[in-house]
Amino acid sequence: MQAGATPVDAAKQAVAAPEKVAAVADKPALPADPETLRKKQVADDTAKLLVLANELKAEMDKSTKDTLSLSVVKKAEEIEKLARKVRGEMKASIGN
Amino acid sequence: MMHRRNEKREARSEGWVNPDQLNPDKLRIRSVAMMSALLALAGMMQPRSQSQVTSEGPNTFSIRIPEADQPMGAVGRHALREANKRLILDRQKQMTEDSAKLLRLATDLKAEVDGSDHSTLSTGALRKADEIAKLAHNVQEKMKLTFP
Repeated sequence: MQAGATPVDAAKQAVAAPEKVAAVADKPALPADPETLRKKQVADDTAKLLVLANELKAEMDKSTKDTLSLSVVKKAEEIEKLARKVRGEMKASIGN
Repeated sequence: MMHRRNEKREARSEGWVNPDQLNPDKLRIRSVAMMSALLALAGMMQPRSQSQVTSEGPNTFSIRIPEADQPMGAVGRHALREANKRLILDRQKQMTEDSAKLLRLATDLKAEVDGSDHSTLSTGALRKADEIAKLAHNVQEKMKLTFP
């Protein structure tokens, strides 16, 4: 993480850097260990969760009592799904 | 004679008693009791003073409560509107608090996942993920309740 960057910025960078992942995937890599893949998945999902939580907070701060923010509902739904997924992955990770 | 006695015995065993053979006082008491029971039943069938029983068909009855039909007064409507407004404001406040807490938990979870080598992921991280899911669900439900 760069100096002065918040955890949210770092999470955003991690989520919005698919080209790096593609570059790594192009190389003839060793067969990935399922456990390593799961760990990476947990890290990615947690980063995405943080980005979504940040966006949800921003949306909530913007909305008033008279406005229904559909994006709030959508984001909250996405966060719920992702958090459950992360929980499942972590559970599997701890179980192994 | 024998025949008559047999008849009496049969009648008693079936529960029927010849009224002629009963004591007139007992008969009077019985009839008074029967009458009062009938009157009580009739009283129960009477409509209450507040409600109105109307017959709409041979076997249908509907009870109308006059208070329910009365239009709500301006004061009542105003109170209801105020209560509704307060409820929406409370819900909005709760949603803002929930989303702030959710962000805090997500930041903690991310730090925990980044800091650990995954073999040391604690049950605390699991609990955080669970709580995040619950908070997100709460926000969703409250938003839907506010704007059904």
